[in-house]
Amino acid sequence: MHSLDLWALTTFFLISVLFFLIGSRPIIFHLVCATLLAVFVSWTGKTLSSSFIGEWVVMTTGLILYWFGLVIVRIMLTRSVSLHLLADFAQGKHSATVSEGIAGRLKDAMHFGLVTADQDRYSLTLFGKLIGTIVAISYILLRIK
Amino acid sequence: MSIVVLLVGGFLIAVLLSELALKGTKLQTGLVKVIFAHITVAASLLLYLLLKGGPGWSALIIFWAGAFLTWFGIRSHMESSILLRMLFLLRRGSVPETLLLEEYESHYGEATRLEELFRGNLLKQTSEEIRVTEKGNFILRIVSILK
Repeated sequence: MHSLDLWALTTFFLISVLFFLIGSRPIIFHLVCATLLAVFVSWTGKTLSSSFIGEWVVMTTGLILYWFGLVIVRIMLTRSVSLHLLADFAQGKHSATVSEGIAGRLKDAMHFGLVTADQDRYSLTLFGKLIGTIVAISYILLRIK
Repeated sequence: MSIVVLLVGGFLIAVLLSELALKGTKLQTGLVKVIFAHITVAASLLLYLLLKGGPGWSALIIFWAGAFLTWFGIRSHMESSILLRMLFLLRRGSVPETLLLEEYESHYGEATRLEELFRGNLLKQTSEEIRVTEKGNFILRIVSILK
């Protein structure tokens, strides 16, 4: 096994372990991942021969995507309304999780400057219209109903 | 062929095959087909790299894990995000809050979510009540570790 493989697999393994250990402290996760990536890039980049540039580019891209992908998965799992509904059933209570979650996202949209409220009516901001158009195109391309 | 072209091209083919396999169904519903498409393409490339005798197998594993996770997260977020669906619904113009929430509820409200949890074998109906299955509890344990 080449030392580049060893370095990349070790970084990959450390990011995976960190993902489970770090819990609800995403800033620490980002900081440690950025440090691990910086060490990987600088250390392996110093001694890199031209015949391994392709592997190095793919590995670095893969590690960055892995970091980003884990962040998305964590957000999905912790914010999912359906999983909150499931957790409610596990705890033997059934509250207004779904409607609260849906109403909460409307507040998020306002917080991010995507939506404005005029009395009781909501409409898209310019930024919201841009994102809304991208979403509509993506729904068509991905055949999302 | 450069390993960059090989892996990026292979991954795009796997994504295309996944979309064809999904046929407009939800990603979580057709996850087995999607994983099958990715494993088939990734395993073929892995075999090719091993037969060629060069390095690159670890590059493939790392790249594929990262790219798959990112694609899965974005794709799944696109189809399930409440916020994005609201933006989509609001494109027609100004809408009262109650109507917007009603429209969203009718599209992907509690009834649909419960149906999906039953279909995914995360909830089961007993004679007295609705219960979380072992699979459901396992997923909740993972979520609690990540919180």
